[in-house]
Amino acid sequence: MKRKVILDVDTGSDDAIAIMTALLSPEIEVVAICTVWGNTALENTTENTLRLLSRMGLEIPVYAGVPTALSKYLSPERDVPAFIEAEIDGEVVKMHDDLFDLPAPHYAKEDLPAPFFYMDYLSEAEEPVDIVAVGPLTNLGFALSLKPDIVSRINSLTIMGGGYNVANVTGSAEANFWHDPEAVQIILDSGVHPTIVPLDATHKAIITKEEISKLRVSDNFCSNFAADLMEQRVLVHSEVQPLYLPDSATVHDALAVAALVDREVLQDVREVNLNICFTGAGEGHCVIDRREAPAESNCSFAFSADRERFVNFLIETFKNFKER
Amino acid sequence: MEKIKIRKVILDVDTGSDDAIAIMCAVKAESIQLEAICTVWGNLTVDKTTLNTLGLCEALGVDIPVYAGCHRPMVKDRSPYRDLDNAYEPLIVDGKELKIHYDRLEGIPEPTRKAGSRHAVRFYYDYLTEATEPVTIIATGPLTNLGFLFRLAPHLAEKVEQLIIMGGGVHITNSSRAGEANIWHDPEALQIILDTGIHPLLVPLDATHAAALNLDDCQKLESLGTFAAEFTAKLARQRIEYESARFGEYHSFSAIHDALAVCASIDESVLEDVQELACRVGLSGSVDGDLLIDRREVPEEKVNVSIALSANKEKFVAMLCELFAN
Repeated sequence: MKRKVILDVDTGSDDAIAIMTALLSPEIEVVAICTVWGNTALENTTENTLRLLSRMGLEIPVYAGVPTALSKYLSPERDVPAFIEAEIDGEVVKMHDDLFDLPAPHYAKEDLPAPFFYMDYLSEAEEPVDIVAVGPLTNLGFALSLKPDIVSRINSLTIMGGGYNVANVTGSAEANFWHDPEAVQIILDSGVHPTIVPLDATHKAIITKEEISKLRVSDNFCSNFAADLMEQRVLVHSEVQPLYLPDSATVHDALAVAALVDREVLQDVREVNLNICFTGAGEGHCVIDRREAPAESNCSFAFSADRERFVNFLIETFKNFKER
Repeated sequence: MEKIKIRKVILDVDTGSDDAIAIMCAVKAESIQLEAICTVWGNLTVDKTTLNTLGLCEALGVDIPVYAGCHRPMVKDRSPYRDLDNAYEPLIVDGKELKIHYDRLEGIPEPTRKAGSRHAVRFYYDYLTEATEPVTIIATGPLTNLGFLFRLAPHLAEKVEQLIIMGGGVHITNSSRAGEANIWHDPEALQIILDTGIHPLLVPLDATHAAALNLDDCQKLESLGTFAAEFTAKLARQRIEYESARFGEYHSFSAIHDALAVCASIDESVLEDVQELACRVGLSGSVDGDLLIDRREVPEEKVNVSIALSANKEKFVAMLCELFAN
């Protein structure tokens, strides 16, 4: 039987690759996609998600979520801009374009907001559901605040976010966690015990330009679109965020989806006690209890990943797309 | 005879002694059509505020829908360094435990009815999305329900004709040096509300303390002989007993905060010195939960609230007596 999965995304370039990875994995049935603000505004992340699904010939329900962080941006001192882009030959190249260059969607989002969808779906769900969240965690933070008992209906929660020894948006924080640190704390406090796929894992599991061309060999819409997005990411990475292999890119969100299908893509997964900092220089930082006798574990944290296994997984999975 | 304008009202309460009196005001007021009561944590846990609300409705013989809401602040209690200790600890006097809010409203039946199955935030969302007529919301507890609602759907603020909030204090505080309980319990929620541009009418401690009830007022209410009047007097006496034990003999009066907010929706002239001010909410440190009014000679922030800095006590007592006479 296929695993029922809900994706929570801020589409977003690597989100799009993650969505395609999930939809092309035969082990998974995506029952719904929730969108959230993050890489770009909520209207864009929703529109991008609908465009992608439409282009793939699918009509999976899309629920738009919360348009901003639960509370962070209420404090002017916490409201500082942070996005990653590079100027290349006088042109600005972004890690995430606002809108994908894909045809207009052929269906609309659902009326129900994402947090209410979670509350309803999980209250009524007869089968366990797996959730993969790869944007700011606001939707789940909201739903778990209002209805904490839905935790028991979540079979597993895999989160792309955070970083222990790697950061991106500030010196101490990763973007998804930094955007809504309180929402992450709410999730950690809920007892759901997520698997965290942080930058420590995603900056290990990078894809090189050569491997991207292997992905292109499949020559279908998904493999080509993913390759385009990855190549744009290679450009930005090379310019502002060079990685340990030349001409390579991270594909953060797709690693979280891959981890649900094949846990072995993650390496050095440890049970840790994690708290998120809400203030000052540590805003959004992952505070892992490093004492000899740490507090009880509240998540599984992947400190590394198997790069080759992940890249092969992507190349194989993207062969599965068939035009409808 | 002058035709009374009927307002549709939703109450948001943490019942709670003064909330109970506020609910009775709303139920008894001819000018209020009470659409629903949402409950929230605050004076007591949300399970208790919901039971108290349902029980009081039963005692009053009304079956207004009740929706249970949030059970903790939006984010405040996620920070280990932000204070949420109850400033109104029970006191032991002559071996008797005194409280400002007892777990169960005394003398109120065990409710036979349950709260609606929808969460209060979901109720607001559905109600306001579908609403074609203006509605007034009167919130007299922590503002968590409305904070979540407007975080998700700020556009729904347009459907609210007036939002009246009992909360905050400009020159008077209670829960901390800088904070009044309702705002201090969930400061982020008020800031989210203000950011929608809804321009609430705030009924702060400055107004409620100006309209505090004393023992003579309790007697006046008791002489009316109705359930609502006698129950109000009983709750006011409990509050006065607690407050005089805590603050000293001279303090033989108690502000019935939440009821003043409901009375203001019936007749705004019960409030005095209502000022148009620019206000932010302190979200950290020593100003956590403080109403930070722009106090510069020429305020630079936009006016976003009406705040009552005083109230007409005689009028308030007269209104309670009139509402509870029958």
